[in-house]
Amino acid sequence: MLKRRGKNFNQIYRNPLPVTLSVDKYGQIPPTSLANPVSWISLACRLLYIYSHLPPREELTKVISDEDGLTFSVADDQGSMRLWRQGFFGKGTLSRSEPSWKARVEQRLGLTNAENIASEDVTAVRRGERKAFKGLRQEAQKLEQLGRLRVLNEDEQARYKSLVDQMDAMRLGKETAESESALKDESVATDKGEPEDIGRKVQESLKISLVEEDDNFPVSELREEDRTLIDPETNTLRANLEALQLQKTEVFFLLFALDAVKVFKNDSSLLLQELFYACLGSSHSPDNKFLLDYVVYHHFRSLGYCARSGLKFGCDMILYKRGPPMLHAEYAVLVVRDGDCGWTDWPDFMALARVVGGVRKTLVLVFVECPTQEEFDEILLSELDRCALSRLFLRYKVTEVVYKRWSPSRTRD
Amino acid sequence: MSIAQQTLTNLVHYNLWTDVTVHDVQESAESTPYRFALLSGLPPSKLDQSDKEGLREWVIARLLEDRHSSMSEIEQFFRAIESLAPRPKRVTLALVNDDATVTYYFVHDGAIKPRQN
Amino acid sequence: MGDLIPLVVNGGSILVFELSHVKRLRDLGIVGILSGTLPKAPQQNVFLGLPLRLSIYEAAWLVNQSLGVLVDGLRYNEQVLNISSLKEETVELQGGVEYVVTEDTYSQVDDEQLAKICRDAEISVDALMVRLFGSVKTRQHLLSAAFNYFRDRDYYLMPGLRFGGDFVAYPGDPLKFHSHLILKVLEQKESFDLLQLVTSGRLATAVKKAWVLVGESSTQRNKQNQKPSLHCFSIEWAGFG
Repeated sequence: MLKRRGKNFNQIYRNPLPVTLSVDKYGQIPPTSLANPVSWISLACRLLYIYSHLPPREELTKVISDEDGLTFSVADDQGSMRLWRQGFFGKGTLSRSEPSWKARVEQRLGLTNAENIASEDVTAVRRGERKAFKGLRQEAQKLEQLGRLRVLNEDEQARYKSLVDQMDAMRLGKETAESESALKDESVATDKGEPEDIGRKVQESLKISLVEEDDNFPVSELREEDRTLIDPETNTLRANLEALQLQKTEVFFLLFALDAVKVFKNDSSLLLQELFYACLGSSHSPDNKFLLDYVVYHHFRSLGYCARSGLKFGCDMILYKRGPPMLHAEYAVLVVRDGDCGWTDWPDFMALARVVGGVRKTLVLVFVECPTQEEFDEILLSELDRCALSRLFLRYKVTEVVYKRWSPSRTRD
Repeated sequence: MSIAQQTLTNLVHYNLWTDVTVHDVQESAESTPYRFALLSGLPPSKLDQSDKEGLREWVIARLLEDRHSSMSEIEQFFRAIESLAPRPKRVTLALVNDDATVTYYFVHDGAIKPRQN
Repeated sequence: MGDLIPLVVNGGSILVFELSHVKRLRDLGIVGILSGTLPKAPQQNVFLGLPLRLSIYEAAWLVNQSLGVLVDGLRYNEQVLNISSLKEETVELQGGVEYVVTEDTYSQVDDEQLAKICRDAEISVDALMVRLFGSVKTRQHLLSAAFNYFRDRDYYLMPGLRFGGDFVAYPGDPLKFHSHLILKVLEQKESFDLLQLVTSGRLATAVKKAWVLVGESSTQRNKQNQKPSLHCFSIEWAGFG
């Protein structure tokens, strides 16, 4: 749940990855100057202190894989927060990005007094407004059609005029809101970029739903499903139904590259090798989709980008310079296997380019060269520890190509 | 969690549907090779202006990871529903992504009259 | 009028040069694409003029409905020029004369002559398909069938590459309507990518259209005249979730 971007914002998101550095735990290296010999001594002491201790280890976050190997999720709140705040890994199963279901439901069912605004609520308000606008437009069009057949009487004319005025007001309001929030990511809520209005509207809609009955949130008649969620004695939620779900590439990156998690299946922890085979699936060939995606994911993560799922835009992943709460993603990445069979049809490609252009992102095609089947099989024969897997991934080569539509007539003018 | 379970949770707790049930589907001779689930339920409000109130909506869930589908598969979905209820005019297709996002699409039987957005 | 419109085939393009023919075609539901440079504004290509360029599917539909005839460009032009080219004339200029007015010797090709020329220069749709695509593949047949299916239901069809589909279908004249359908034609058993569905769904919603999958229905294949019978599903974003 996001509040106004306070001074805590940069503090909360200061770690781009869930890795603790020695200087964070044991203190920064003291400033040293050549002229001052005393400072050399304090530097030597501090270095000795750091080197004599083991590198700091945060407790490994527990990731649970389900029976079918379809989902990898983090159930405990602390672990979820750590993975989200330090690198924006994963997505809440019942939220748009950051896990915020518990707080939203508590607010919806009136179990808490806190007034917080979530991005989901902002979206709901926006969709509600659009629906209302469409209702007005439909009525206005009916009156227009009627007006073509016969002359409208006074009441109808007045009604028509009021409808048109309301629609214009809504359109104007929407334009100012859009221009003010041009920088903000769609999936994230109120921050200094967002206008005051949205915050107020969300508060109002939530308050209304607590007080009145309307078809979206009937409170006096709780849904059966909602009633089972609440513990009648304490009047709180029995359990948090939401978990942080990680994609395969994310889990593998956290285990293989950062060693920041421990993966469990049926209560026993998985070795790196076992996780690798679980993610690989049934097809053991070098152009397996998981391998291509992982190579590209690892590549962009190592360059400092935050790479997340690109489903919303029909591509493989989208790249954020820092993270979702800060700015909109800049790049949309499509992973293509280098060679004949990786390429998609032209009409499909044009559609993707158009969608990506429409949301003002740059389409990046990443061509991945795979090792041969023999090289691949050879590595898979050995025990797959971190070394062997690194050797495997080093065999892949990545090339990025930016695709941008050029309109010669427009450029001339 | 299975596909059915994931879709059920998303419909009930995120999209606020009620009375959602998962249906068992007989594997027919021409079965689709991809995993799918069939659900039905009541949305919180009419999905389309021209619907009747309280219309029971059918939902087919597919994993986005199983990248492909075909016209014959969609026809099979309609037939699976036909064995339980009269053939609906449209079905909701739920695509479950591995990051827990579920996107919903309407699949209408036939070419719809284009409407205003 | 009842006369067949000549559809001139130059190389791989099917062109219509006469303005009256273009107007007739529009009334019949064939829109085509203007592809010639406008003499008044030659250094831009946003607004173009005659000739009108038709796709093979539009031409095939016209031929099947006996509204047009495909003619070989070279032979057609030669014969038209034989009739209607300017005749040579020698004029003697006397001293002090600044200009000469001559009779208009450019004779129009009348309807009967035109019909004769067309019959003479005719080529068949299949021959053209072979020339364009190498052989008559099933995909082209299927696209033709899809075109005919929608054209017979009074839809106007235009190329759909801009929207990631095979055609774009309007319920009437494209200039009058803004919301229409993007058609994607699939062969029997051909699969489509679900990620494509996401992209196309999003694109369609953004440009206020619906996406329609058109394919052969496996159950009702009419073996006699090889015409595939078609079945459609329309896909649009649900607006929630």
